[in-house]
Amino acid sequence: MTRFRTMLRDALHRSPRFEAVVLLLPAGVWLAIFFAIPLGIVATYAFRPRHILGGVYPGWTTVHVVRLVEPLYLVVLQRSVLLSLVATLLALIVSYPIALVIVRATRWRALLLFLVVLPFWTSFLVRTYATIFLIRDTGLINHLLQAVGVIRQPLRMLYTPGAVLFGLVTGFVPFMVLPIYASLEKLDPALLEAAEALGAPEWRRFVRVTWPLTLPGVVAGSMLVFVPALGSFLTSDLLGGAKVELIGNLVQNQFTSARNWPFGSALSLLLLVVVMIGMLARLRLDRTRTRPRRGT
Amino acid sequence: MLALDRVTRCFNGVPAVDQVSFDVASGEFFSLLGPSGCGKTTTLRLIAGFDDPERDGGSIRMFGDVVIGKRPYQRPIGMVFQNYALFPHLNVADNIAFGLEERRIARREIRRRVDSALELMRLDPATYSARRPAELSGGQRQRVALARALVLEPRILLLDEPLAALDPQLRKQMRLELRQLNRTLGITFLLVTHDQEEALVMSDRIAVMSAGRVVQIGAPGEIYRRPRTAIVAEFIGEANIFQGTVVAIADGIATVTQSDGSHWRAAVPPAVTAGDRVDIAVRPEWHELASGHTEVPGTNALPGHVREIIFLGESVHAIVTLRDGRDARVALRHTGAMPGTLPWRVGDPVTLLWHMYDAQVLEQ
Repeated sequence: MTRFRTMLRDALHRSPRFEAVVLLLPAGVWLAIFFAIPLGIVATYAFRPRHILGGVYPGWTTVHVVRLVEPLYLVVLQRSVLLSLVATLLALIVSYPIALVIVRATRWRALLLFLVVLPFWTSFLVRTYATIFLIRDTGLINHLLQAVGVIRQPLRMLYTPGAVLFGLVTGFVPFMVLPIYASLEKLDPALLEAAEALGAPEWRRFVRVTWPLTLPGVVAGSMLVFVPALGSFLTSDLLGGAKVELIGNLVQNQFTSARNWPFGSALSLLLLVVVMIGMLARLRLDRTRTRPRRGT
Repeated sequence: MLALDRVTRCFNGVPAVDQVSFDVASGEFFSLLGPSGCGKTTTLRLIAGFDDPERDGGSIRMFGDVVIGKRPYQRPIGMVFQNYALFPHLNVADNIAFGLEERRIARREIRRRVDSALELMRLDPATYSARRPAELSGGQRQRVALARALVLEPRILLLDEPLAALDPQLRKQMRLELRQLNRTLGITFLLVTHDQEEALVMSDRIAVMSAGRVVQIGAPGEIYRRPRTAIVAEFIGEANIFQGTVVAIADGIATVTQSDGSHWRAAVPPAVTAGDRVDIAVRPEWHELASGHTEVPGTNALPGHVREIIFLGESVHAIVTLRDGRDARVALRHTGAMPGTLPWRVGDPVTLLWHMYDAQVLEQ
């Protein structure tokens, strides 16, 4: 045993590459079993004939993939992408000021950060149900507004696209706040003082120094909101009342009530492709930004 | 030109800058020197406008105008930050152009002024304009930071420990360059440093700060030769400090008695009067060593024995243990003396000698 240990240690010391392989092994095995193999199954199912009771028959077909370009589904995809983009933008508008406040608060910083993370202590499902109680016709907001006399008839909020958007934004705001906070926290205050000494008032300092230097945090946060929003089905199900169909709902339906696993797989692949395009665009952006710019 | 009058700034009720007053002349190279926490950086930030003094906490004037309450960019200042604070997302040219762009200067004019600022700092515009700060050496970053501040043609350049991040060789070279720059540009330089050698080399005048107060202002030679207090004597250069009581003062020379009854003579500041218990500072290089126990008329003398001989390259120091058990440091004139060729060895009895003008009575 000890001989094996010394042998292993020597090998680790001798080759940094071997060391990297050993360190990545647990994650690699995990991802292979629970990510790569299932993904492979989904990818092959998309090209299998459909079994009427769910599952697939052996053999190959492209009908499901061809069906993806039907206008019906493209409209759903378009709606999903648009809704996710708007949700991401709203989350950004809400989160950036929050992150700024947390960074500037010296005494209350730990508490504020705790409050940002607090929603994670309950499940997403529970929080979504709580939202229903808040915004339904007989919910808290309508009750209050009626009691004050602002409105007579309850406002229709639940089961609207706005409700879905609200659910997505409130659900994902912490994912946006934390990366932006991290990048703001790393920002050297001397840079802002330098900008001020050079003549930039507060707004100009934000535009020329703070924003560009925290852009990596903004991009990271946006990915963390956009990607799960695009694949979400629970929020639109519960808050949209099955009236706001997103691509996530479509996938869920194909695997459950519609019992069309191959088409569900094809839709999943479509979703994957859309996300990949977004990721690649981001990488492209990163590369152009790190490349030295021409002098003025 | 730049005038601070009883400027005070407190943090949590504790004064960080306490009744600081000084005047800086136009074109002067003025340094604030002191250990960390002495209030020199806070003073600089008050001058720059990143912070303001307390209410009724004195005044800061530039060219006759009170600047308190004005933003940094409303003051005729440029600033070089401790770690340069170059914008990492902008290249060298864009860093230098930053302030010009804020002033809405025409693009062609900006380009011309950026290039001439780079040339002033002896950086080739064609080579360096497009580089990012991360692609520069420490010395080059320093030059870009200077160019960025100077391109706006400030009348006062504030420098916050500008050389602290450089390696020693480069630091020595940059000292002379900064001095040169101050002369050629003719603008006022205000330097904050904790490095006494740096302040001595570059400054026209130095304000030594301690615990939020200015303890002495003077030319480098004056501060070195005539330190007013023990703080100054020990912070700038090295000093042996002896105690005694003043018995008489005549023509700026005090006669001081020791506990053993012997009499010394030393230069004395006006604030000291006969009867005062005082400290006397003597620089290590002002001492001479004589073998055995001797007396030389007109010279102060203290017997002791050599405890240690230290070879420092450019000089040799001897540590002499005196009769009262305390140590004094002596820098031996470097006449090619090597540790082995000195007339004393560790343990030998010696006498510490020094001239009365080479001893300074300190204020208490």
